[in-house]
Amino acid sequence: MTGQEHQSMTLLQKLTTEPPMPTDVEWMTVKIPGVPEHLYNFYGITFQTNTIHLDTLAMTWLVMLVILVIGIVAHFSIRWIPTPIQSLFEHIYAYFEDLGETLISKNIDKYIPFVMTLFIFVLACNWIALIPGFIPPTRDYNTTLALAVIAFIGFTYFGIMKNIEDEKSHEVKGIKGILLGVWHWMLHFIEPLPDLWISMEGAMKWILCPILLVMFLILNIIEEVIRIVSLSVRLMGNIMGEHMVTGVFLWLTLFMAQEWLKPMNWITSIFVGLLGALTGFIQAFIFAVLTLAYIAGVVEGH
Amino acid sequence: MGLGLGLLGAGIAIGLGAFGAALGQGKAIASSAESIGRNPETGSFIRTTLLIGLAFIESLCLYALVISIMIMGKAA
Repeated sequence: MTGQEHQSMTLLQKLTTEPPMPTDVEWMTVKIPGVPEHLYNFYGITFQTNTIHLDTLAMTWLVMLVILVIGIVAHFSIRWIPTPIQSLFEHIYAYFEDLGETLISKNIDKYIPFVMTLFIFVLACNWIALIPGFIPPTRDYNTTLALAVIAFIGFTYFGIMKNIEDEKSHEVKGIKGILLGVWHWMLHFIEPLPDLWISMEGAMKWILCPILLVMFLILNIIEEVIRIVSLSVRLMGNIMGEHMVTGVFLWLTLFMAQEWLKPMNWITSIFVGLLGALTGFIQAFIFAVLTLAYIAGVVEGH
Repeated sequence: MGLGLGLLGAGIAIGLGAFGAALGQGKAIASSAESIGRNPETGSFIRTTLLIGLAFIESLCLYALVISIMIMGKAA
């Protein structure tokens, strides 16, 4: 409906005409000139205002199935003398354990399996794009946001449990210990203030500290939100960018190049695909390491 | 006019974002390579720190990418 038509309508017509329902409110559903649409849009079904991305859903289930099968096979084929594949996975696990020891220093057995789960899932999601025609689920912001929220819940949970255990080790038992632990965890949100409170003196303390309390509280809450946003946007942006670059290069060599260049499209495919494999591994690794670093920040704080 | 300005803005956004991130990452990689060269035993620790730092720098560039894609979606 153009603006002129809208102005020429009577008031009654305006009131009786229903406003057009938004069929698709997904912010990623855009038209980018010059790039084939299937590289950045999703195939989905829309219920009123909610869209289900069928391709992301199918690929996520496929990844889950693959990981499940590999996990079951790996569980029943553990050898005392490791096979090469078992040795590879043990090396990756040992690497994360070393990293955890440098960051957290003790009691890391609780945290490493959580981090490794995220790592393996993200890695499988990224690497499924190496098979032609398959779409990485991490290209979708919904997937990465869900992963980042899982990581957030993980390190919040570990932080609370660590504080409760500290109270237990100080001989504060029962419900009182739990409440004190949660209280100590909540003090985390006004972080540099307790030190300042001790170091300041006189009347300035009572004027300055309430202002600082509000400021630090807001800053720390923003920091928590920024952690989720940066974890998810980093993964999504990298994988989506990589996927689009791969597709555009292939599209350019297939449809835009000179006739004699067209059979050479496998060269660009191989190089861009290798770059994609590298990016996928590094992004999965960084997702896991940042989660570990956040856990270390919550657990080792004070 | 609006479309052209939007596309121009999207291009400038990702270009400047990539420019700054590339400068920062180059500096980080240069100094880490230098320090690994001087003191190879600390290599693994420096490499991990470098990767985390690169991720933080790169995320700023990715914010620019997301913003430019949003601008292109609005403009086109």
